[in-house]
Amino acid sequence: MSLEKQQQNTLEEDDEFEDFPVDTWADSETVKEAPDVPTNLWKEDWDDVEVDDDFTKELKAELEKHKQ
Amino acid sequence: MDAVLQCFQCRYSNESLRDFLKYDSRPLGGVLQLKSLKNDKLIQLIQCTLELKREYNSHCTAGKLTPQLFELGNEQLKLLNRIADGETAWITDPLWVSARQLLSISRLLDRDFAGNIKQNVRDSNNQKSKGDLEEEKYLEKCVRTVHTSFKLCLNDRNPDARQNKKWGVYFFTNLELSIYERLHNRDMVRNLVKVIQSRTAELPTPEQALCAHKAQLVTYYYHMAEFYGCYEMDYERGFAFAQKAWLLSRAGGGPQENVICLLLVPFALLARRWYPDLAVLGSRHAAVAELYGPVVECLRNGDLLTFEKWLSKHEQLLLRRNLYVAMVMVRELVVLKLVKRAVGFMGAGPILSLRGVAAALVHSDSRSSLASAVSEDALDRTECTLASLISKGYVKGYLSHSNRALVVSKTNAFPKLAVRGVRAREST
Repeated sequence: MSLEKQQQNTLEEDDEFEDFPVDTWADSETVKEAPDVPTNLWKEDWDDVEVDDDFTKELKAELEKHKQ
Repeated sequence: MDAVLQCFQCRYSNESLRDFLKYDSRPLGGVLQLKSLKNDKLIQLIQCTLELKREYNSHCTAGKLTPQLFELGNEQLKLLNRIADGETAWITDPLWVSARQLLSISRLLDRDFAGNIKQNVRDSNNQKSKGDLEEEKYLEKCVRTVHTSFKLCLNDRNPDARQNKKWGVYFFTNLELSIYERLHNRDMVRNLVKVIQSRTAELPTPEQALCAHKAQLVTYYYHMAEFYGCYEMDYERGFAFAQKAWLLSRAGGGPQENVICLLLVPFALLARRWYPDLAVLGSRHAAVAELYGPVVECLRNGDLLTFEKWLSKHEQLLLRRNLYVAMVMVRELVVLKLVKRAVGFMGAGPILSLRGVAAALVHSDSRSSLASAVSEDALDRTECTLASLISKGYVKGYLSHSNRALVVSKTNAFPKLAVRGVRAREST
């Protein structure tokens, strides 16, 4: 089974937070400190970025009809 | 066997003792002369553990355990609890080994029992009559004994802080939380968290107590994130715990890290209005990125219909993970984005007719078009939606009911973080 398939199964099938297979690991192996692991998952400027997809075009057209 | 007895005599725990307590470990060498022992509790523990091993070897296999094995495992933990009463911090290790073992036996037996019931119902079409008592689950019996271990640690009055069993509190907290999660018993989770909160001044911090057990520390953070975010709807604290769990988890990744990220993403959205960089998330947690990808898109464009379809498609998963309520709250952020965009597209200054906002909501929710004469019902619904956004600090402005208009602030009408939420954080 591929890793991706296993991950999908985890989301869909398992209801519980499984026990870790090991009791501990080195600080250097944590997400926070491991090299080459990006720790900033977040985009904070998302509210300022405009998208221009089909939905947006339809929304603009709809609002045109109701402009004051 | 001498190595095991020496642990109790000299008060330390080691691999020999841990192995001895396990039902499926190989028998230890050496001849045991029980008559030479003077400690009755210890004699009972050894006899019970040997009986446990015999039961496993003669009647069980790796995937098929017997109720008798549970009874012996339960008895073993009870005997250890009795011994622990007069012992110091070292005893928390064998207690934890025995408690974890009991939990794993209980899980397997409950799973088998549930499978058998389903099979019996299918075979004979039998159904319980009204008023029949439900069979008590093994997990329910198990948690009572584990709770005794927890209380022994919590209430230890040993004045020597290094030898106090309070160091073991979080190990049993994790076990209990995991059992209550499996039993879907929120009240017991809440009670346990309250107990821990009320005793924080006299307990070591989780970081101190679990510094050599990162798996347990991450598990504790995960349970706290779930408690605050999913049960208490305190997304800020939920996010803080989920973030700590994720940063401390293994860079190699695994199913646990995926489950942590499942909580982390919606809590970040609700607490900080941050959305994940899907490329970064996908590189480590592809399944999570795939799940939340459409949500991020809806948050960017305000598409309510796509969001509703996503919510409906993943309803079962979200309910199982206790995330459904959080995602319903995320829907409000999609509405917010839609209103913000509608205000921008209408470009009519700070005073907006509700008709335009109502048209945007109807189009986004159902892709249908409002007639030129908007119904009073549609305008009332729009007012309610906007009132909710204003009351939560998502929109700075007010509603003019008599003019059916939304008046937004000329400056920063859509604050990055909800005004009330920021104030609440600043006051803490």
